[in-house]
Amino acid sequence: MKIEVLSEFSYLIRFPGDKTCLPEPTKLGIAAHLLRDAFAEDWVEVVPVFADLLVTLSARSFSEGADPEAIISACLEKLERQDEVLVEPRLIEVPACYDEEFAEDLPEIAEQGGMSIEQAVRLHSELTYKVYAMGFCAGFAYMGDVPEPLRQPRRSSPRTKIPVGSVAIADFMTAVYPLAMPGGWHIIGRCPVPLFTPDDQDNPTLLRAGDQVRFHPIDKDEFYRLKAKWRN
Amino acid sequence: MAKLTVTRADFFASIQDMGRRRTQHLGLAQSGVADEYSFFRANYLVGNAVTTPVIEVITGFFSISTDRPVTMALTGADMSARVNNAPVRPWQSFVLMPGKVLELKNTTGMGLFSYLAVKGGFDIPLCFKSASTVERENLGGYHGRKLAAGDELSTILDRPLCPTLATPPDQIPQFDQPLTLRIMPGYDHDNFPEQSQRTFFTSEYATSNKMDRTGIRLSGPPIIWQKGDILSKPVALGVVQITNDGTPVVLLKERQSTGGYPMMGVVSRLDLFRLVQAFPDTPLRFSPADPVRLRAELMRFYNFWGVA
Repeated sequence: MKIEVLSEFSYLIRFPGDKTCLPEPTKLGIAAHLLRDAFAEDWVEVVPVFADLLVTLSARSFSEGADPEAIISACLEKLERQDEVLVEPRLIEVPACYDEEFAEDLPEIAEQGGMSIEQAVRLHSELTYKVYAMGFCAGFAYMGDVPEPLRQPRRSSPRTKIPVGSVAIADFMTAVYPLAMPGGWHIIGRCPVPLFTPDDQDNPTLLRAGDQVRFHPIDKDEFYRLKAKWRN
Repeated sequence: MAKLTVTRADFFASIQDMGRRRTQHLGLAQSGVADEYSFFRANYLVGNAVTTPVIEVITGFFSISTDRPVTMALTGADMSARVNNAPVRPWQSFVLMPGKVLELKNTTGMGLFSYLAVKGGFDIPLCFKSASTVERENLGGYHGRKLAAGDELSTILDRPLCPTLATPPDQIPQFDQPLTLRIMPGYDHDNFPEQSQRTFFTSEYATSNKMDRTGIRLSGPPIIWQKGDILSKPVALGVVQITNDGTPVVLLKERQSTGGYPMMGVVSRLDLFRLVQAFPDTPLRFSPADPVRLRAELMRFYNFWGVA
């Protein structure tokens, strides 16, 4: 791991890895946990994204005599020794309805992969995904790795509005849209459960970096039942 | 409590403060005022804590009235402000009387973002500990959106009017000057071809009209990146990313928390407050700078305003 001074109050910690060999997101998750603990009141942002961790600190952490870089190094040493409490990744089941009404791009994805729609659904939902990063918008989780036959590059022309809850894939990643947003991902289903609940300020997102996620296929009746339940 | 009514908001006016902390790992935007210097100064002039929420008005076309006398201050961009046709001096406090309308016309080319502070502060519920609006997330501020004609805002406290407080002329920034942005090389800087690094640090760029609270696209010689797609990274405030066609884009407070384009480094935060005020086509250059030196300068800035 390499610590880089990024700006006045920020560091970038680079973990070894690249697109073909990503570091375990739980490892970055534990690092983030150790850093927040060590800096207590003085961390402003600790953001793990794929192979990099951004640490932004308060002005106070740089006052005379303070050595934030040494604190970061100590956290990374602890991480390597793994003698701290290891955080078990949470396994979260996300219901997803793959009905044709919600899955505009599923027929094409299945065809490109040389399989039936049923096979494509099974393939997408039988795997456990890892949350590599949160970003793009509130509650949006970048999850991987999508099995090879389902991988397709982003659409050449993005849609101007992707409906709330859309389950989508692009390249090796899958995600659920927490808000209606423009986007270039392929839509293969819809999730009835909110991914972002701003009223719950202590726990506003269903998913977090480091989580493990499985998609649980549901039919339309179940979709509307869950949707109604969450509305109340 | 005074009740203020927005009577015109044609472009983009929103409630902003320092923005959010500890939420980017959840995917939320940082948000907050684009120009912290003008923001602190506006609150200071009306005797508020300097981080009290204000109205940030982009390019003008905004007016507001009140039902009780309120002490206000307007800083940042010059919008030829008037109260019932009498000019209002920016960068000093004034009182808006009931029945009168404060009108911000369009910017004169001296800045893009202006800040309206009211004594006593606006009564705005905090969302993730900040009043800052993020319209695309429907979060914060006035019902998660920009202000519109007819919106009503209350002040938290009815404060006595205070005598006029003015800003010393040498403390009022000139927003029509060419810029040199100090940048801390980092992120993918070392992986750009040498020729691209040279182009970036020796060429003249300019601001463009493609700008909003998320970022500013620059015009100038394109920067070539030869290494194909890269993994997304966490994005710090002030990052300069290079799009596929070689355009540098400086990312601001309302940027997304992750970015997949190669990045050249991070612009000094104090320079960023000047950059956001630059009218389209303002010439600028990048000069490499040492983060430790810039840190000392930024700490002096926050210490001066008493912001932790």
